[in-house]
Amino acid sequence: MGPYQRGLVLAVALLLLPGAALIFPASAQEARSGYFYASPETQALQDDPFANPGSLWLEEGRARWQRIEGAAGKSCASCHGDNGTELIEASAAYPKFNKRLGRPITLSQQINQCRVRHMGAAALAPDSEALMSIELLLRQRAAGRPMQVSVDGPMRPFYERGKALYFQRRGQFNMACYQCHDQRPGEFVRGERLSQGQINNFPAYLIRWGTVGSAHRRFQLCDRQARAEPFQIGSPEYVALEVYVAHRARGLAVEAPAVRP
Amino acid sequence: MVKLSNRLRQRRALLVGGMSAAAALLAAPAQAFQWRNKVSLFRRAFPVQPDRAEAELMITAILDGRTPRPGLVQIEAPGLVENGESVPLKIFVDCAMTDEDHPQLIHVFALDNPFPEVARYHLLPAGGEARLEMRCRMASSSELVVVAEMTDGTAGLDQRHVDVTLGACG
Amino acid sequence: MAEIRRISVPKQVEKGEIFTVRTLARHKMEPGVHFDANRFVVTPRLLLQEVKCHYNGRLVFYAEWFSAVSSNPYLTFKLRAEESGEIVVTWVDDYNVITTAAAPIDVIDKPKS
Ligand code: HEC
Ligand code: HEC
Repeated sequence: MGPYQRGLVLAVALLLLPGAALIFPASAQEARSGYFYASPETQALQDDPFANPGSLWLEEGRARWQRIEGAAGKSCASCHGDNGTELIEASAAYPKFNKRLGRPITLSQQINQCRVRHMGAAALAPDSEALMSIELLLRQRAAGRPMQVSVDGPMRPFYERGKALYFQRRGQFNMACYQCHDQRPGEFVRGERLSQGQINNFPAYLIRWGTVGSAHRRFQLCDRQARAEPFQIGSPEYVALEVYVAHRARGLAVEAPAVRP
Repeated sequence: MVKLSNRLRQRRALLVGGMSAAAALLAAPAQAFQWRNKVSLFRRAFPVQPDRAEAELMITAILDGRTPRPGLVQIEAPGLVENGESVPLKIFVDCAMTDEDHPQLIHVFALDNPFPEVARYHLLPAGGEARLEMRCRMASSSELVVVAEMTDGTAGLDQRHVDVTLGACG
Repeated sequence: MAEIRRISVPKQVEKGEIFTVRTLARHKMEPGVHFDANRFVVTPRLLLQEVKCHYNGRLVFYAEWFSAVSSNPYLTFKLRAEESGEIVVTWVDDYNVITTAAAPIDVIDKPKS
């Protein structure tokens, strides 16, 4: 075999590789939380209940849970109780289909729905500290429970759309999510150790942000890293993507407050 | 005061000039600021590049001819961190913590930061033990240096090289 | 809501025992170097400059912080138990805004054995 043929074989093999990954997506590996791929220092920070910076947001969340806001003179606790027990299961099941809107919404959006429709208060800005602290509180109450997003019935088309986005090559580098997170978890890109890109841990405290942010903000960061134009936080594209990624993480325990580099 | 080399003096002069210019430009309420804030105003107007030689000079100036006592200061930091925004650092100074024998001042430096001084800790005998933990920012891979100045006039120094994957803006 | 300050000390210690004070503050520790190219502004610097600890009114620890201290700064140090009372930690920012967190401590005499 001359060098030319050898090159051709290599090229064909390279072409086939992504195809193979399409046939056997992450199923080949068992699903693992990003915690598994983080450095011992980051893991230690997450495991220390006092030093974990995410716990500061939890503290704010607890205060906000009881705070009366809006025209109806209600707080979250007025309707959902002091501990929000009935919301625990739901908090692990977002994005969820909203019949009134005819589309899935994220947990952040549901919180704002309650604020606007039930409390007569203003919606909180996406990814604001206030919104993230309440969402983190809801997720913390559900910590340890398996992620269980439904993708049946009306959710199906959104799931398919999200899946398509996950496998769609975009941007200057012409990369798709699966190329980093399904094919190369454990490997290093530009010094960062890739994980499976699971979202059982969001909203998460990212050391680089110095704050708690949503999964959509992380998607934006990934898109920017791959030199693709990011979508808006809460946009239909990212909600669909979250449906797919959350379903991909099904069974993984909800982790909150999580710390990532 | 410690002896300052010409270079440092020149830089100081430049700094002071820049400081007053920047302060005047931004018309900040003067009383509210301490000198360090003015340095920061200056840095905003004229970004400062990391200068390792100057960082080393600062340490030399602190030591002021004293030879660091070996084993006095012991620090712990990871050899590799994912994010320079948060580098855990543990400091221990091996001393009796009495009035005569305790670290009056502990300096923390990250040599390749644009502003290399990270923190200064003033310890008192009431502490019982000179053991600290903190987290610092590092702009790039470099040395973390901790210098302790003891009440009896001696000094100690320890350093660790930290490889930083993602730099922070210190 | 922005200001959250937290300290932790053991509830009960023996006289003369050395215990750890752990502190955590929610603060951006904005170094004043982040440049937003869209709005053409530099985020103004805002740091916690000083941390002080008072044990029953006595100053027992004092720190000066610069821009290279991590955001949401974490700090621990040691104290020797003298008498029951209160540990107060104070953070002071660039504009002399003072925030505190306090915790009670119960010091018991060593059992004579
Ligand atoms: C160039 C490679 C690359 C691409 C393409 C990429 N990411 Fe990432 N992603 C990373 C890196 C690096 C990290 C940070 C380290 C880690 O946790 O994997 C990350 C982290 C994540 C995380 C957080 C994981 C955790 O445990 O906190 C999620 C979620 C994620 N990515 C989703 C996506 C999605 C969805 C896409 C497609 C839009 C995508 N990524 C595309 C590189 C990439
Ligand atoms: C006036 C009563 C009321 C208040 C106040 C209220 N909610 Fe709700 N909440 C509801 C009702 C009713 C639903 C059922 C779904 C809907 O209407 O959106 C709901 C649903 C939810 C859900 C989704 C539950 C599921 O099964 O999917 C979450 C999460 C939630 N609320 C969180 C909050 C939070 C956080 C606050 C405070 C910011 C809040 N709610 C304040 C009435 C309220």
